[in-house]
Amino acid sequence: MRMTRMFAVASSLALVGAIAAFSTGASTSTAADTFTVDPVHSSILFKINHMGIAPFYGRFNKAEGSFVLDAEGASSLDMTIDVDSVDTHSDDRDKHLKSPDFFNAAQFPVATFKSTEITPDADNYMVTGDLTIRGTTKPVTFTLVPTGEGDTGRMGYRSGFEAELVIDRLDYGVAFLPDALGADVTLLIAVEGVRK
Amino acid sequence: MGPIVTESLRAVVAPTGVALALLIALWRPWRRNAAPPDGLLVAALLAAACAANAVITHGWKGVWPTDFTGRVLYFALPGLVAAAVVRFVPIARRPWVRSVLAVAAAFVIVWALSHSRRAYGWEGWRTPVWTVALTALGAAIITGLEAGMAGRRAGGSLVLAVTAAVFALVLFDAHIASLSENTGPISMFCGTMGVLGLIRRGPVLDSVSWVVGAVLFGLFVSGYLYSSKDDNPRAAFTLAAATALVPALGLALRSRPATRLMGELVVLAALAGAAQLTLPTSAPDASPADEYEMDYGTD
Repeated sequence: MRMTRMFAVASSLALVGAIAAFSTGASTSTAADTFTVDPVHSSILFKINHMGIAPFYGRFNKAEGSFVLDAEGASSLDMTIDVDSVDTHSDDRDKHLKSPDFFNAAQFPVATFKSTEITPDADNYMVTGDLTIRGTTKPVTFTLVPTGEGDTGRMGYRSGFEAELVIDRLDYGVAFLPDALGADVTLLIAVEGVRK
Repeated sequence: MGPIVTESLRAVVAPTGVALALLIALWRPWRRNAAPPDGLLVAALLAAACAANAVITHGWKGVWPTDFTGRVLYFALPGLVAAAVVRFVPIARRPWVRSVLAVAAAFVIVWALSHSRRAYGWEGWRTPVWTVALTALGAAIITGLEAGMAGRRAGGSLVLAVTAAVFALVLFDAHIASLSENTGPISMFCGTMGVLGLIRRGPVLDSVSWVVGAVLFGLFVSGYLYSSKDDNPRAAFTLAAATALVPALGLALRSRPATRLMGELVVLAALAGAAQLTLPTSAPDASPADEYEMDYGTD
């Protein structure tokens, strides 16, 4: 009888421990977690010089993708941006940007990025990958800065990062009015992902 | 000087200026007994100016790029080849052979420009229907211009210049300024040739009309297939295409050359105005503060 009670107590403790361990595991990121990009809480902005006077900012409102950030394992980042979602707070300008003068959205509706190598760099990551805009693919390298990670409750376990890179739009065939608009375009990316 | 003006000087005036300089050197219109250069040679000069303009406007994108704007470079080529066949092969001067050549040139242009539509947009029966419809329209544009320009010189040049200007206007209003710019060499080259032709007997336009028809049809297909779907400019593009048939209609009038020219210019102006009316001047949901200008305030 006494042995039975001791076994029951031990079993209960083991079960509680197992649940506690499982719960802990469920609330922290493990090495190979994959996160799906949350388009509502992610920002993809671009900055370009206008007439040599001032920088101008625009954004893309629709993007999807996924990422894995692992300091010891295989990291990856894949993103697809809906070019038709370009938003510069001017409907006429948005139409012009979607036209063959700039993004040629009717022929190339998306811009994509696919990482080829991600290596840890102190608290950050050095990302190399293929950026495709207007059907032209070029390799790019940038620093990815992790900005936070944790369980947000109802909105799930999340991870975020931001990055900044400068590209030459002429390299991607976006060649209209090189005198009025700068060749260099800065992409400012802040992404929040939800663990799958 | 606004950026559009700078861009036009570089992409339109520079290559067309070189082509015109060569034309004038061959023609020497300041001489009383100056003989106009061969029409096919004139067509080749215009084709070269159009090709150089395309590369300057859109940048070099490879020999046969996926991006359709990289293929604007070749628009004049089917027209020039057809013109050369008509020039050197006697049987090709027969009307039905010229019609076949026009269909072939139009088909090449449609096929070259519709590659992404065939891959991602058109499914099933849409590919043959669109290809046949656009090819038929292209053949009508090319043969319409060719028939309307047969045996014409200065007056025809001016009509070609204005026709290209109507295409430019429609393309610009459809938010595709770069394709609008691609009509520039035709307007500048044919306009100058028309003015010079008022002083000295100019070259015949039979061969030139093939090149102009091919380039304008290529720009029409480009705008029709790849302009922003928000603009819905297809009615305007159709009216622009109709301008290419105006010289053939003028031929049917059998009036005096000056009367015919005036009539053609009036109809072209009317078609340009009608095309303007079919395009919204600004986005329906644009606010009063939305003062975006495609020409970056050149005016």
